[in-house]
Amino acid sequence: MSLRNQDGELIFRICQGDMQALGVLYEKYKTQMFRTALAITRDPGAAEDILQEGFLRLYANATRLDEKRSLAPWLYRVIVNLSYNWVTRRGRWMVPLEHAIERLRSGPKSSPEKVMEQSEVQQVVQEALDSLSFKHRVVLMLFYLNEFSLKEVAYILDLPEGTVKSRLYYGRKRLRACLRKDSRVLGGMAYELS
Amino acid sequence: MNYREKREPSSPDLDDVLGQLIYQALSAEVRGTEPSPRVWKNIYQGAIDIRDARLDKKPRGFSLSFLSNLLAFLSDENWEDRLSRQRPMPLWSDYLLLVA
Repeated sequence: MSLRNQDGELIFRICQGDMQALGVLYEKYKTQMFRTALAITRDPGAAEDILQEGFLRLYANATRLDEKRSLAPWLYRVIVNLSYNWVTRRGRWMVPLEHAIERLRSGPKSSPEKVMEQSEVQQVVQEALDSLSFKHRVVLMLFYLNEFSLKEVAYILDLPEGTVKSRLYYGRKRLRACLRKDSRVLGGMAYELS
Repeated sequence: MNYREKREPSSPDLDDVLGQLIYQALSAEVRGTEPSPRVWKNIYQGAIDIRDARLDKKPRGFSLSFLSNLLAFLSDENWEDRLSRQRPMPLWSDYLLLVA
């Protein structure tokens, strides 16, 4: 009896040279992987390049993958690493925290239409997330947006579970501090977060 | 246990509120986005290039380069030195010295 899951079957077919199987995997994972890369890089062009590179690595390393294990964590790991490399090369999240807080206080710079679409609180949270370092933001993103468990986040980032937990704690703490300081956050919510 | 599983609707705490805010803010940034069709075209072409490069690397039967390598080896090698290294024998020139 084969212990391969659906992804495992497709990986096996890729190893046999079946390009259609690669297409099936791409269709299955393209959106979540693209959005993960986009959430980290904030650059649609970069997110597409990262998605492309990630799937080419999948193709190149298909024979080394364990067909019995889920592909998603491995693929997320590749996409997050590639995104991290891109961010590091571009020097993003290197702005001093004071600059980010100043930007946060100076109000939204988006178009009026966009501001209308987003609630004030959401805007503030987004800006507060921007003020976090990459390592804290990516943990929050994987935990809250992708809804991974601490163990899965630890695997994807290749970190001990305790480190993930502490980064999550620190990220939330910083966010709370940013939100409390911001006058745009409603009084009640600011109180709730204090 | 992930963030959603941990949440208990009956007892929302501070982290739940913050978690919802974080989720809403992050998902608003990526909602509705999709990669363009050119990405798959590039992946498909890139995968074909990888496959072809692998096929080129594989040895395909008897190669003329093997013959040329053998000829180069035979012509370059100092046979007397080589044989004496393999078997601890005196050089032929030593016999000649003895005879002389």
